[in-house]
Amino acid sequence: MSWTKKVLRINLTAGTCSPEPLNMEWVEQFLGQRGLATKYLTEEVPPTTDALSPENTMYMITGPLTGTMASTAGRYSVVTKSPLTGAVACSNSGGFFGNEMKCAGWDMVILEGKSPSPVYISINDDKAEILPADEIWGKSVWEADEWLHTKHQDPQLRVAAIGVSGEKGVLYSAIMNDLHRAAGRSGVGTVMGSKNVKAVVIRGSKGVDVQDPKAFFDATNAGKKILAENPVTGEGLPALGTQVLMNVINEMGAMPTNNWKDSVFEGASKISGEAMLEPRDSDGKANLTRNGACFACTIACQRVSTIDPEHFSVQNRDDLHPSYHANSGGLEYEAAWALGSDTGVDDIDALTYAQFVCNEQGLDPISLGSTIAAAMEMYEEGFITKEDTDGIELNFGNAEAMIKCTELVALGEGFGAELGQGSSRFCAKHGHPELSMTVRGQEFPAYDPRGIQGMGLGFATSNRGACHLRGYTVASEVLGIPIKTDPLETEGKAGLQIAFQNATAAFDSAGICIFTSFAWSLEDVAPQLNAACEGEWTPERLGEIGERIWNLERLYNDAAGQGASADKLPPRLTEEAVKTGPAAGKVNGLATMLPEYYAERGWSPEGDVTADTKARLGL
Amino acid sequence: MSKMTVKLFAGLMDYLPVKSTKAHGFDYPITDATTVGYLIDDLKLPRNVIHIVLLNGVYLDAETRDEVILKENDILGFWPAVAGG
Repeated sequence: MSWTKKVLRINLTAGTCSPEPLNMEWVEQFLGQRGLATKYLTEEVPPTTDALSPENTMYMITGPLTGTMASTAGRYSVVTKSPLTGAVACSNSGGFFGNEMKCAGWDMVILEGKSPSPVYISINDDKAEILPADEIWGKSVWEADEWLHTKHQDPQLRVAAIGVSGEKGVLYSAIMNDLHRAAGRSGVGTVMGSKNVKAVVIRGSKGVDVQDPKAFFDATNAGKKILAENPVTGEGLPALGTQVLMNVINEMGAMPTNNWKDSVFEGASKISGEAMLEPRDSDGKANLTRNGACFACTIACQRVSTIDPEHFSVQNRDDLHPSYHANSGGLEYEAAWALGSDTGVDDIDALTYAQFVCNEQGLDPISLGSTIAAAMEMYEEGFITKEDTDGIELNFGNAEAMIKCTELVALGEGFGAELGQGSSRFCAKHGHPELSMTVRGQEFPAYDPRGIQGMGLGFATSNRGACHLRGYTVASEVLGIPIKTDPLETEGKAGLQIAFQNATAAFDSAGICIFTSFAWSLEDVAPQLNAACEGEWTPERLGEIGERIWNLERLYNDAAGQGASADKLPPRLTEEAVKTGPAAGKVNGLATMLPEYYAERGWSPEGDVTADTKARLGL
Repeated sequence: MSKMTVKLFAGLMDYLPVKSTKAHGFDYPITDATTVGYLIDDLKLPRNVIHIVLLNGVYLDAETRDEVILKENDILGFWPAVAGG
């Protein structure tokens, strides 16, 4: 049985660590990970709770396949109420932390209350302790990781930690595990910091059982064969990683540039996956050293990179952590876009440096880059001046300025503390909320929905605020997976987006990586679940579970004031037409798609989950 | 003779005429009857690997793209199956 059926509940106010049984009735309805923890959240944390108060609770949770030898089965999620959006937050991470939690005998670790002083949580199989973290409070993720490994004298210890940004209340702080992997979005690291928790460290030696070992090996081997033979998961992602998208999205005219004023970035090819392979003049090395993989992953999309030693960001910088001068977690597409084309910066080494800073200090590079980009537009328009920016000349394309802002946000200092509140609060404070490219207060990812229509609907309805990982219709609209649809058309996109949203919620609840969905459907996931754990998991049932999760998240958001009234896009995307490229003249047709979406979801014309839909889904 | 630009990305960079990752694109001479299909065969691009074809940023579907006639200054981009996020 791949469930441990055990939960570790840590009350930081009382200083207690208590085991309790996993609610298996909820497992039947919500599967695990994203779905199951959201159910716990909705039952335990009132939707109007202040996200940074001790009354908020944080759920670190695995899925049924986590820790098994199914491909990509190292995933875990952090579910809580988001301080950035006020909506439900669920951030998913790979690496080796999730599987270690399962191997220690826990499906989920719950952090509730608030510690009176900085602490970290140590879990070694059944033994859980709350220990002082005074010596690492104020340190970066990388420094804390080293200290914790030294203290515990265990190279196999798995660490999930926050950086200084999370301690300082930067609203898009991430929880980093295994140095470079992030539960990245919606400020889950900020919630951890608000509880005075610096890190959770885990060592597990129990292993994970599966229900039917023979059937499990057959099912997971079949799954791995599909991944290996698929050109995306077998070749494209290992070779160029997520960054393979930079040129595609730019060439089709959907690359948000200069805070979404433009949709084609001239410098895109200089910061692309292909560019990461080019030898540089200084030392003859390419930016990319090699790829890497998370636990049990047979795709291996991770980037491992170096910064040009002659680049200004690292040259003569003895003050930096040694990793800046060596191989570290390299540039991903979303970071390259947000810190790059959105700020007009086409310097690949500057972007790699900023990505390293995000990893070291636990920052979401999407929200960071987008907030800097919004500030750049405010600066160029004269809405803010050097007096507001600590003297930084914040023009588009200024790599030094982008780096300086990144460093300030990472430490929550000066102008960085203000940028650390996110673009929605920043732009509102300075009188121009329309320049914040956000939904529910969360910054957009790297796809202009004027050129990829279905993504506009996805952003507007995403339960955790603007996000590509809730319904990635880019797969269909651009890449032809599973079928090609016209990115400039709105027709049929409501149904397409719903299908992606529901299936994604099921994948996110199973303990596997969403990138498997480029090759797998729920038909491929179901047999792996059936062999791993009890219950009859059919593709149809998994689809229904996905729909149930989506509606549960929506109901929570409704009650938190982040429901239908927040289903909207910034005016730039629905009123300002794209200027150049293949999508020229287009705006996003949200007004056309949204009523269809509500109807196909079984919601009222106002966007409320109806009693009938609730009854049908058992909510 | 007119010319247009061919761009090869990701794994298809191996088929660039001069092996160079510095430039994804190169000029290609066309007549008033040069089709995408002719160009693919002329450059010996592997049809079983080509997945995304964008002509001036607009997707050409696999069924009809061979017949599309190229015009001066067109930009034609080729990718294998790729995805990310």
